[in-house]
Amino acid sequence: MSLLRPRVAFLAAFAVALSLVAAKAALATFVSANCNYNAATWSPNMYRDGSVTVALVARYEGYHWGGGCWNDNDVDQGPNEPLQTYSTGGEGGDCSGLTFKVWRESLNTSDGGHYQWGRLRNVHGPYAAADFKAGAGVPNATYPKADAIVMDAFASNTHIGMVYQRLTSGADQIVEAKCEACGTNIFTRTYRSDSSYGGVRRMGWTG
Amino acid sequence: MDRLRTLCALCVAAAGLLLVAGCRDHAKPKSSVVAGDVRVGAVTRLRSPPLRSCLRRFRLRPSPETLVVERHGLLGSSVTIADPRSPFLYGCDLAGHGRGGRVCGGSVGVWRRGRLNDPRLDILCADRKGRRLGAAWIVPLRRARSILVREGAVTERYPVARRLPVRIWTRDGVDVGRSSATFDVTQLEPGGGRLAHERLRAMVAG
Repeated sequence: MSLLRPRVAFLAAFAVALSLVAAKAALATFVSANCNYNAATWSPNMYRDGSVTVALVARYEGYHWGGGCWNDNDVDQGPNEPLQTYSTGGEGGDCSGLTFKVWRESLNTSDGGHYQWGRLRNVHGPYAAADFKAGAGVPNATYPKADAIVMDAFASNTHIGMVYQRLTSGADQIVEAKCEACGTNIFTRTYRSDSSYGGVRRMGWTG
Repeated sequence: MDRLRTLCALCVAAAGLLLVAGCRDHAKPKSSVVAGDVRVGAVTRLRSPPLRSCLRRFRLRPSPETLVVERHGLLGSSVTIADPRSPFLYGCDLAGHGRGGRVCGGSVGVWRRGRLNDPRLDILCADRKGRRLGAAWIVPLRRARSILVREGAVTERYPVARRLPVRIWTRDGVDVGRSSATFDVTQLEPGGGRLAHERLRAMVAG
């Protein structure tokens, strides 16, 4: 009997530990389970084509309010999050978080350098859409919409999207993190002719 | 042996003193309360330079019913613009103490039926030493008369105006790496009683 008790106690403790691990796994969000806060890598160059590639990786990876962390499996691993809620920790960026990462910006608003952030680095950056629209921060400037080309952006007070391709119809294909239901993708938009949108250019492209 | 006994007695006494000192409810460092200045009125009445800058920033054409709340506080000033015809709430932040300063950041929030979608954090402003400041809105509770925000040894009091969201500031709570800020907020009722206390964590978003 005395030999049996330690065994029972051990088994009980093991079961408790196992259930705690399972509970933690169940409570983990995409961000808490996958994302990091590593430093960015400075780069001397930044090409528009390269930034298109960065943007396309985010495609199909979902939308997360205030977010900036995604992998590359074309599955939104944090779907159906409540409207404009950060704490649910889902996958994807929001419109301004995606732009910040694709434009390889710095957390320091006075720094116009190029910084590569890993896909799984959970970073949104200091700018919201209205800040980009106002040309806030050294790397960003307002720009005539008629002259906007690939990887320039159109921003309103509540949204921003980057030009993927200019169409002959006058509309544009825009790569953007639009909303929870629409995710991150390329959409045909008429922001160029919409008076609530202004043109924004990331300064300092190498080519 | 006597020496050993004395030493033991001293040790026991020291342990007792430490225990008593450790268990005593230490008085919290006193926090001084600084009251912010607030002006509220129709956009046609408050034609101040910060308001003009803010209207320009968002390219707003206000109606005569548009309401403006202008605040001047310890860390910065702000302008909040609410138009009953629009679902949006506009805010501009100006760093620095006093009525001078330029607009260094701003926010737009969805404001419907007394509810705000998000605190709409802005971390673009900095103080004179270059330290980043955070500004966000907090929605006052129905009976709240003022909002206290604790910042180290200083607490700033923000009077509630027309039950519109109150633009509050922090410096210590800003986390640039995570594009977030935490505010230590207490809401007070008219008599000064505490209605609620929370640590509000806000993220730059949208």
